[in-house]
Amino acid sequence: MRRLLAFSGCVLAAFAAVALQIGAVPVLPFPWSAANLVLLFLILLIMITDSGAAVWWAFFMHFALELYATTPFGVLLFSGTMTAALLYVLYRTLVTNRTALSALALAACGLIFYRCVYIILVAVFGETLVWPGERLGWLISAYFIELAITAALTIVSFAFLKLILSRFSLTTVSAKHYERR
Amino acid sequence: MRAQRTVLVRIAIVILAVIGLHAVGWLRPVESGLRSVLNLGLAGAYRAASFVAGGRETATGPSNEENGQNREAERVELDLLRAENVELRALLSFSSSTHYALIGADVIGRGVDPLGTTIIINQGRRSGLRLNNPVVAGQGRLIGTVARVEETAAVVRLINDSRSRVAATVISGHKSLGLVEGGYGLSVKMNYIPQNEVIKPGDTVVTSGLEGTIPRGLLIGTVEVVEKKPQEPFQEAVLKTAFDLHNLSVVSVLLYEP
Repeated sequence: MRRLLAFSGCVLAAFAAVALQIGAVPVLPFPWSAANLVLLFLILLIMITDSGAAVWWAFFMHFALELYATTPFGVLLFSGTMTAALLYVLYRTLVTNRTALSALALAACGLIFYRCVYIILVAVFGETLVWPGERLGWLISAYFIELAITAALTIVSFAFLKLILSRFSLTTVSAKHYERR
Repeated sequence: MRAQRTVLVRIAIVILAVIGLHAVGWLRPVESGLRSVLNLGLAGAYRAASFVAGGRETATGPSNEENGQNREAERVELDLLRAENVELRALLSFSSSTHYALIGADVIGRGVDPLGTTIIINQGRRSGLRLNNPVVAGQGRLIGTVARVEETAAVVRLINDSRSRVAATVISGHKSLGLVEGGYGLSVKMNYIPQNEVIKPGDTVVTSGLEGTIPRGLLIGTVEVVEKKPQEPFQEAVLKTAFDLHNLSVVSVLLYEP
């Protein structure tokens, strides 16, 4: 029952993250419109559940995002899923602390990797890659703002979630933690 | 490490399999079902975000401080409804004056691609939409073209998208021809205007109809600045679009056939 509830909660949260990413975030005033909620959700999922299932969640969420993208099918799916895999590996091997700083490191590494893979795939498989030329500086600053906003939101969300979860004695975090011990 | 590599390879295989299944069309029922469910969430999210964004814009007036929060929310909602009403009236007036078949659509989201400027509408192939159909807002102001069509939704590439190209003409003495191109959602420029032709700020730019998928005479915008370099064979003009591309809620798709 408990697992079913957790799974339903994850489905709802994933659905909300995708719907908000496409429907709400781009409409918000700048710089909030640059936030990447899907990546934020994935980082929180990895840090809270400590489970590799986050990679499959990333797969399904990016599959949903693909339905509304103009890039060739697979670009978002591949870059998003591989980013989640990298984040999981990083979390298990390098950034193992469950702290806000770890969340920040994961957000930064994840977003840089995601955007690099994305741009390479668009350049290789896209119909036309319009080189930004004189606007290259603007494009880099747009990606930097995306990184800054997403990282800031990840830290705040993580701190908030940690506060909420610490109020309960048998949270997913603590249960997993004790299981490992 | 080896186990991790195996898992990565497995994930890549699954992704490739899904791409293959999508290419042959076997995933269409799943995609269609998922899109129908997501469209509901998107429409709600888009409306809510527009409401929040509208609230932010109107919250700067001095009289707002005196009003209560509920009154403010009602006022923002009323403003949004008024704006939507104006857009719908303009579209209605355009549809009664044009002989092209029009399909009205609600904007339910925006593209996630940071290199592009696209919107998502709630009409698709089922309503007769086809690739490259022109999309207008207000009284026939061109805002973009259909870039992707699915059963119940479509993605529209706005004219300020860096991959948008629209053949256009300037309504002036020379009737100059050129290509209207977008610049990463930041600007719209008309390029390839011969140097010897005279264009000036304030001139109107409309579609030329040369590309076959867009009819002639749809208003794109007006010339704001003319950029002329003596060594270049062509001059270019920065345009002010005829419709605010950041505030779209209702649009119409022209089912144009040349």
